[in-house]
Amino acid sequence: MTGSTSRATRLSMLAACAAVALIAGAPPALAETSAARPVRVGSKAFTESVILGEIATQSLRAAGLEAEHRSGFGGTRLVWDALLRGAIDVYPEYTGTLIQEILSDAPGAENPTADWLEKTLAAHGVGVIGPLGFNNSYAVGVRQDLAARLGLQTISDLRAHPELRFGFSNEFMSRRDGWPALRGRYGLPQTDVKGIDHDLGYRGIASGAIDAMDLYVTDPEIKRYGLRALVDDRQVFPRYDAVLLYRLDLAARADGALGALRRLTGRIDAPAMAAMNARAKLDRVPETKIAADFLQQNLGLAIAAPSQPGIAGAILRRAIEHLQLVALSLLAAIAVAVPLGIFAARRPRAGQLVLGAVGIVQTIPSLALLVFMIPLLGIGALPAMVALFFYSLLPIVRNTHAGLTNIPASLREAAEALGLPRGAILRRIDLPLASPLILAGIKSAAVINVGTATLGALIGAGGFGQPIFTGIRLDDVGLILQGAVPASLLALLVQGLFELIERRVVPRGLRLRGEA
Amino acid sequence: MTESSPILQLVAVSKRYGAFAALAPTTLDVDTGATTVLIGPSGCGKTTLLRLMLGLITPDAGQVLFRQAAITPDNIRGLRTRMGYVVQDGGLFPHLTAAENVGLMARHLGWEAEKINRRLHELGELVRLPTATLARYPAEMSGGQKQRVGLMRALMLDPELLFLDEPLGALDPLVRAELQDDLAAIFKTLAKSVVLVTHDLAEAAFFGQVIVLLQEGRIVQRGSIADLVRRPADPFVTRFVNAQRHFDIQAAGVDA
Repeated sequence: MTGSTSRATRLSMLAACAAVALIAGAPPALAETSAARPVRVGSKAFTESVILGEIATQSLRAAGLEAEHRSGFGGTRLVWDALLRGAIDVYPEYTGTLIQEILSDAPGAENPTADWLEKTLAAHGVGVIGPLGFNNSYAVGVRQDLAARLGLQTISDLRAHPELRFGFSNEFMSRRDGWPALRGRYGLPQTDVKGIDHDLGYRGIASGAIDAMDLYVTDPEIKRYGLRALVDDRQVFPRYDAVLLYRLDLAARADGALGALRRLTGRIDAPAMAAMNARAKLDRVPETKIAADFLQQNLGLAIAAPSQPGIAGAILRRAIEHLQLVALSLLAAIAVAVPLGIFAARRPRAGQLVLGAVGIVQTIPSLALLVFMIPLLGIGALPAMVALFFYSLLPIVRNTHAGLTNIPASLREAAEALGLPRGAILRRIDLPLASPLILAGIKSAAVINVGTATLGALIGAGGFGQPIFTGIRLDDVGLILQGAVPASLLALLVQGLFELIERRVVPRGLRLRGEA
Repeated sequence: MTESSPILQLVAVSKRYGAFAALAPTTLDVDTGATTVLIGPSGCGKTTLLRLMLGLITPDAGQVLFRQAAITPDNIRGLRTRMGYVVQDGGLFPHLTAAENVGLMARHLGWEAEKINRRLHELGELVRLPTATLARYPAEMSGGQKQRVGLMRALMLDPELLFLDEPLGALDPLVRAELQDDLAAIFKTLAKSVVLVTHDLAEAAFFGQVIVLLQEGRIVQRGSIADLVRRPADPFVTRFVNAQRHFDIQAAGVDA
């Protein structure tokens, strides 16, 4: 019996130790002092934002400051919150987004001036640098052939064609200066309006799945896919002048940072931006290189080209990041969920509450759960791990509970009649008997985690999600596969690993059932 | 304490499950060194009675005394090592081998491996279990073997009182007859106090010095098989005896 019982005990001890290590390791990461760390530049998950973020980062480096770029935040709210919380210090934004979206509730937003903008931002502890030199407003795009056939020149012309199918980026769908304003001001009758990722929208319009989409006027795809940007004849879209936002405390923290960033004011015009976007998206030039070239040609700054790791190296690094996310969150979940499952099985009434609670956590969409973590834990691996931890709870708690409640009453009675104390019954009888189900719960949590961890890239946690989302942004199938294939392989590997563990942990006598 | 004083006594013990009276207030002595058989139709309360005796459930009213001392939640765990329990279907833990099942409690009590082994072989001989079977898991054993291992487990700590819940119920007739003989021999060898539950009158007659017949949560009659046949306390006793058609009164040694 040594084997089976102490193996189960050892497994739970191991999980508990790992969880303690995880928790003990967390505070230094959280309490990381702002003075010691480099200037952090953030950017949103679209190419132009990433290029601007990279330019800002390299300008800071050229001024002798330590700077790092956290690219690819999943939305305006995310990156704005990250700035307010101090998770990042600088990020590129557009005046239209600020006025219409971020500050729309502030008094005076109806009639914004540059002065008003500066004061309102200052109230949030945020300063503004710019404009950088281009106005990247929204536009509505249709295919040239369709525009010619229907005679579409302006957005007003869309009114006569209610059958057209629209596919707008999710952010455009919900922003008050987006689709709601467009529909209201132009009286557009279309009803087939779907939310779609901005970069996937181009594929949709090219394949004919949708007829019209929102564009940024500096998007290189306008040219690539032969689209026509319809004239905003009622001037619904406000100006979208690119600016850099920074935390006001940055001046005191990083001497010379603001000076370095201010040099960018007025230096990037629309053709330059569109050309850089085209290099990134059409020519597949890395953003770091594009930013370095820009700074060298326009500001005469010599930027040492950062070394690009090879594909194998990149995959290895992401695999380590990914495994860390999955393994640590899973170990912590095991240490918490198995005792919770035991509790739920022993106290049926309180147990229903526990099962209900972990069930509700599971219904929160994974991306939303990740976003909830940001105000509490900032960005990076820690909030992603905590979100994955919560996701792993349900399958493990539920299976531990089921495994224990499925034990025949006669066996529990037999154990009790022997005179074994409760703890010994749990260790020697209950857990070994429930081990197949508990392990199955852990396995499904692990496999789900491998998939869900890819979303961690949206909040700066790295992993295989990084190439997937960058690939989607750059329309680079190769890059998407660099993340998707190893992630799938990893899921299979985890599945296989657990089948091995099953063979070691599940007592032999239980595996014989069914054979006899 | 003399050998003749009852090993276990129930004093006005009753048990309800919601509105269902599983056991009406019941007083009963279990004689030391004898085999007491609890018998009756399904749902008559014999299993409830057994579980009360084992302290697996607590009575709503009344007391269960083990050697004149009341069983309480505080002392029950200690008392259980002095009682052996053979569960209905053997009740073996499927993740443990026969030897591990039998030695489980002894190991927990810190017995040395050698002592456990010696006891295992002693019991193996007693219940006529082939040595090779000790290394097998329940899934690899026959029904009869499982019952023998279950009996070994119950006897491991040499208990003063042995409970068996329908030990032969699920076995085919040949195995059943063989095990019946073996059990009777073992009871005789060990001279233990035994409480056995069955619904089969032939089995009750075969084992029982004292037969306790239950109906609808109360004891109808307590006595020898001859008492039940010749001096039924109630028309139900006669009905129950006559209903067991295969029961051969002559063979049981009762001349009607």
